[in-house]
Amino acid sequence: MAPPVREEVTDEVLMMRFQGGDRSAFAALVRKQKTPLYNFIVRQIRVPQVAEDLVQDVFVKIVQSAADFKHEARFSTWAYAIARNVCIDHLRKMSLRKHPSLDQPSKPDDDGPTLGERTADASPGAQVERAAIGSEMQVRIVHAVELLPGEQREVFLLREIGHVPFKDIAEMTGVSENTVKSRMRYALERLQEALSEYEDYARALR
Amino acid sequence: MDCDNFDQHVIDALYEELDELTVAAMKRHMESCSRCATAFSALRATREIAVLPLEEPSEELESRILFAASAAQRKTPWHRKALRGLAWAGSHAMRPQLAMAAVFVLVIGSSLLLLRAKPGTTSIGPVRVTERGEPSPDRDDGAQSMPAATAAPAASMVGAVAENPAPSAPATAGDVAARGESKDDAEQGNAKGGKASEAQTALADAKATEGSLGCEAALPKYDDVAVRFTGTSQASDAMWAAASCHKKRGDTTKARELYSALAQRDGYKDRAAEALNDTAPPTNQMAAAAPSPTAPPAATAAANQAPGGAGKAGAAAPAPAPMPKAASPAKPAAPYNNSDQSLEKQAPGWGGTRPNAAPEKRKAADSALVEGF
Repeated sequence: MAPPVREEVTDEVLMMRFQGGDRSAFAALVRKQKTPLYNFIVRQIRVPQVAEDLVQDVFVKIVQSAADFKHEARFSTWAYAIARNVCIDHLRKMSLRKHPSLDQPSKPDDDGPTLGERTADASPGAQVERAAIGSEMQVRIVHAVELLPGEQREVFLLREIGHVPFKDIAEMTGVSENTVKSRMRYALERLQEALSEYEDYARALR
Repeated sequence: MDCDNFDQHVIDALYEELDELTVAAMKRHMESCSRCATAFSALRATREIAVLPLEEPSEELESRILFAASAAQRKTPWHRKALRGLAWAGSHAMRPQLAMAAVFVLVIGSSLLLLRAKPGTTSIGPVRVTERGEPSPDRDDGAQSMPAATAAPAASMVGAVAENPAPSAPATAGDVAARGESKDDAEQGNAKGGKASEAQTALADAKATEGSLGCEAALPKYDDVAVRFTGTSQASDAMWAAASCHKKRGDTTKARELYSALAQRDGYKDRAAEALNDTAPPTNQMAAAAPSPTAPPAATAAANQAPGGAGKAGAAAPAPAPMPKAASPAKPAAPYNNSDQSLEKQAPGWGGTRPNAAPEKRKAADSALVEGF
């Protein structure tokens, strides 16, 4: 996996600027964080429209509780804790209703550039095939993640999308760090099973 | 490192949250343990492949978020804003540099306070004087009241001179001397504080002697007071009392001498002139002439005649108090009036010096005030 892109201005600095009254800093934060936060939410809620509403809620809460952010804290840990609570609140409200179908398809046409980019350095002749496999692969991955048990999925999403350290995830979820790591390992093993038939293709593409 | 240990660290190793030493130990373990090596490579492959594609939200989400956020910011209650400001200030205040600066300021400030407090015990003194500057002269005034009191009559005497020129005949030289005396009274009044009270006691002693032992015993004492405290009101009193004694004893010459001397004193002018008239020979020639050896008998004669001719005047004469009532019916008032008129002519001369009198008075009062402080 590619290391997280470290921009010159960190999220923490942007948040401090926003605390000082700099609205452009907040706009920059939104631009940077809206997509990961949306994906963190949409993989749990599964309804894009609702997920977007919840992302908006998360940013409103960030504005409202900006004073609570300490400059020595990690912005991602703080923001994902808010997002996690927003999701839990929403799921609690929805729990009265019938749980949304696990088979509800995500947007298959939304091909993330990640996989394509990763495979871009391969031989140009396999471009079409790779794109097809990539697209199918992505659908599989998304499905596999959505099929994970809630606890494992939560840890997986926090670590993979939010880049939240295991220690912070343990603090956020109220369990031990070893439990978090165990959940992460189980999640990876499940994904391994689900993607086993594509693993060889993926290896071949590298 | 065994397999259990390896399992504990496998996720950390996968997500690069391990130190290099442990990573090296795991690598060594994988070289010898195929199970752990397979598990690790499988997990790493999964992690590399199972990269969740990031789905982009709708385009308008960003503007929606910004709009909702600014709306929330507008609605942010003032106390939240205050808390935010406080948190911001606090986050700055908790920085070590500022804490150091604060401690530094505190230490310097407190030491300055202490430095000021220590010599304060001595330096507060002058400050207190400034603050109590007003009451302190009051205390001093009490001690200086005597000279002030003596200066005041002297000043008022000068005033009296200005208002009512002395009727005495040898005015020119004598008056200058008298005024000089009154000046001295005013200027040296303060210095003579102790002397005045001394004179007072001496005079009282002399008067007591007169009361108990009579004029004979009292006269030397009166003379002594008059000589020792020349220029004071006590001396004048003593002279007056001595003159009265002399008159009582029938020594008109000495009485007249004293009266004429007293006539140059401001407070005694009227009385002395009256007494002089009483003791003087009844004729104008006699009054105009310089005191001669023949005068005393004449004076005695006049004094003797007086009870017969003008009973009232004769009776009033020994009395020390000035009696205008007694003077007016007395016939010999005429020459007195004449001399008064002649003095009036000299008024311009007086007027030349008189303006000095008032400043003198003020000067005396000022000096009394200044020395009071």
